[in-house]
Amino acid sequence: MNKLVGEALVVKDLKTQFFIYDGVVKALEDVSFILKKGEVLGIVGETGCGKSVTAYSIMRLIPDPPGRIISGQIKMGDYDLIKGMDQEVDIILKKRPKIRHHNKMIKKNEYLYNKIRGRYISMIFQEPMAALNPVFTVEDQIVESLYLHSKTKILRVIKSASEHISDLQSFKDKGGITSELSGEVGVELQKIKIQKKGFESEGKHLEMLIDEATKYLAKKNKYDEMLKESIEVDSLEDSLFGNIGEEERARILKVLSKEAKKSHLTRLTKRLKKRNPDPVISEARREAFGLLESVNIPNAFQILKNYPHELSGGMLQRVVIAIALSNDPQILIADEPTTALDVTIQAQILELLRDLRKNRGTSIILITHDLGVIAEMCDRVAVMYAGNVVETAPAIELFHNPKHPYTIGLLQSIPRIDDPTKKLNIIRGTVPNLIKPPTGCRFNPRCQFAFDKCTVEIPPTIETSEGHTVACHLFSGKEVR
Amino acid sequence: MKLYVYIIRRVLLLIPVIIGVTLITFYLSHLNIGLLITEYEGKIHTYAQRAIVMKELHLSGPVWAQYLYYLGAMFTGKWGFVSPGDVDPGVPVFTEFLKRFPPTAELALLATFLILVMGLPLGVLSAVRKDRATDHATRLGAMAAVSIPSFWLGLLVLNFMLAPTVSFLPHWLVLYGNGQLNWSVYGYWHGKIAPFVSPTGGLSQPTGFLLIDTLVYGDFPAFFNALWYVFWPSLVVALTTFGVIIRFMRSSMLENLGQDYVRTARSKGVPEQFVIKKHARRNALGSSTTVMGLIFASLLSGVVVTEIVFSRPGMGTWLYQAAYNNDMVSVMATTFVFTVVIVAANLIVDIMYSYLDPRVRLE
Repeated sequence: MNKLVGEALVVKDLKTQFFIYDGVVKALEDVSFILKKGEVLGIVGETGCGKSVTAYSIMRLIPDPPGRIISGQIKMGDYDLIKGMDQEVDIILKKRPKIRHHNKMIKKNEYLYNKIRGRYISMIFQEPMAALNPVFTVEDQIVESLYLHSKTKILRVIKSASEHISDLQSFKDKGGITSELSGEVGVELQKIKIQKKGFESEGKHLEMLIDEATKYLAKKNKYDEMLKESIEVDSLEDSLFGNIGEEERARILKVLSKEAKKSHLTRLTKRLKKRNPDPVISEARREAFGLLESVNIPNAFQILKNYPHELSGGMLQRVVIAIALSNDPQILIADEPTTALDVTIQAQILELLRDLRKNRGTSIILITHDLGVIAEMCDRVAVMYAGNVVETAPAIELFHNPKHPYTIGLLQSIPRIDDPTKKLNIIRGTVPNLIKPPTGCRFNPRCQFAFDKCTVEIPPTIETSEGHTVACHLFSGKEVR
Repeated sequence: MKLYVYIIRRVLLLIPVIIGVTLITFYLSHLNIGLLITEYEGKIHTYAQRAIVMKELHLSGPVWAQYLYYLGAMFTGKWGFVSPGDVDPGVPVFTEFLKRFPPTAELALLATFLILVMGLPLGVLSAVRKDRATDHATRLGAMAAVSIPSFWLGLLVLNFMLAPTVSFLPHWLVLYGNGQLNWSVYGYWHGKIAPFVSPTGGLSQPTGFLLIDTLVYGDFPAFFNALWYVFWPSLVVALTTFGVIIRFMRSSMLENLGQDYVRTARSKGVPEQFVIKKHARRNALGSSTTVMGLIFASLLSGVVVTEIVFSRPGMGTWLYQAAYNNDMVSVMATTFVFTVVIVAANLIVDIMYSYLDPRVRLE
């Protein structure tokens, strides 16, 4: 996966529909966009335009029934998330062709997708208050995420710490981290140092690391065995994303599903609660502590023990971000992350996301209906209307030179403090019912420039200038697709 | 708040409840004093006997004084006598209660266990397979089971499972459950059959619970025999009740599966199995506990029909007989016990709920 250059995610002709009693809701119709590595892509549009459905389609979180991804490509590097999944299902179905419920099979065997979610792509949700499970502590929920995906990394850190245990001890006695070490533990110490939370925090980390390292030395064989297993599983999983033959893929899937059954995962629920837990979990606690500090949560050690209802909205959103970041994903989808928060907290959360992009190089898809947030955060913007991407442009270009009538309407409907007399322009009407969308261009009933062609023909996407595409009959130029 | 402080406060709250309930039962049973002394008809022949009864029931004093005496007696364990004869003062109600309570408690506990074991998984299954064959079948089955009257189902079970004449069961099982509680190694060792139920005594019962006592003596044949006879009535009770818990669990699971945190769990890459078992079910259990507590309390006090059908010597049969015979002392005593049981069950449910859902604080 690390070979990726250029594009982090390519979405092409994505079509998602909901099959409900009244008919088929054509929620997404040929949505295409590109997310480049390390950039922030804004997706903007009114409520009901399919922004969230796009995000859920990428994450495969569309509830099925009633929703389904009909066709399209979601490519992460060379790997097509949708096709890959289907291949997986095909392999499984070939083994048991009698089973008729394909959807059920997909759900049951979303093994590969569960590896992608949280590890390569993770998501932040709109309502932090509801996004965390009320009956588990913050710690449990972060540790769960780490335990699912970062086992190898965690075991490596423990191993490295056990090799440098005397150095760690001397660091602790001297007070804080003074010099650097090689290997995994060095990287880990570097991270702690970057966070610059003072001696107390560093001391805490060191204490926990030393604790783990001592445990490691006591049960060296067991840990080494676990690390070996974990590395094997990881390499198998990574190989699934590459170009391999169908037989090879089937074999690997078989091994992995066997592995998943016998692995500690199956006993995850019990292990989290036990007094003497899995070594990976106790080290994951230290990691969780570090994560909370990295999202600027004060008094992180106490917060870990709290339940979600004991924290404020801003705090919870940080915790949700910490969970999303726990496995260092390449892509982060933020679905209106600031909508439910008050203005000062909004600014802090946006600052956090910006730092994240800068420090870790994560690509971010930022879904919002707030053009202010877009202006503040994004490199490029995709404007969505009624399940279509109508315009894509670099952020500055979009604000200075909007092309599509819908974009123009959106920009004009922002109240401006510098011309108080003018009546606010709004786009008349509402987003159409997507069971029976308007023929031709879906925006035509609300468009002030609409002419005959608009009601008949679906407009092609046209590149008007470098990186600026628009789907409208008013413009002519090179057709992108 | 500390847990024990909370429990003490709740127990203190029990006092007004008990006073209220006893006041009502006392008032109703003393509305017609004739009812109260019907039992003594034909038994009181002398003035001395009359004086004893008058003194026993404090009939010479005003009604409120009678009530206070009664209340005092309830708290000191002097609960009166069941069907006193002209010479024999009768069995003390408290002794009768100690004899009658264990069979009912065994039945209710086993039935609750069966309800939980059958109801919760089926509820979860029904929610996960919403609107599919499994869901429809589960709901239909639950509905049918609940709709069957318990006495009819009880009679069916009695005829086909426990009666020796008509049975689908293999020969040895029919012999095993041949209609009497009499299968015990003590039968061979001591020349006695049925150590605990023989009228001449037999062994002393440490707890009164047959299932426990037989295990205390290590008498496994007797244990399985006792289990056999408590299992079938429990199954009848469970089948006629568990539909409630299935429906409750189903709707509760559906609600929780639609919550945002389930979506978050999925987006973390938690396998679907754990999304259901860990995240959603844990939350759904909290609200089901309340219903379960109420069901348990109602079972302890409300298995009258089943007990009568199966002739179990429990609280239900006792209440039925007492009401039939105008044995007001026993009726008041059973009502008192049921009150305490229901309040205690609610207390336990509240404590369990606070453990299951950290948002609920005991106060």
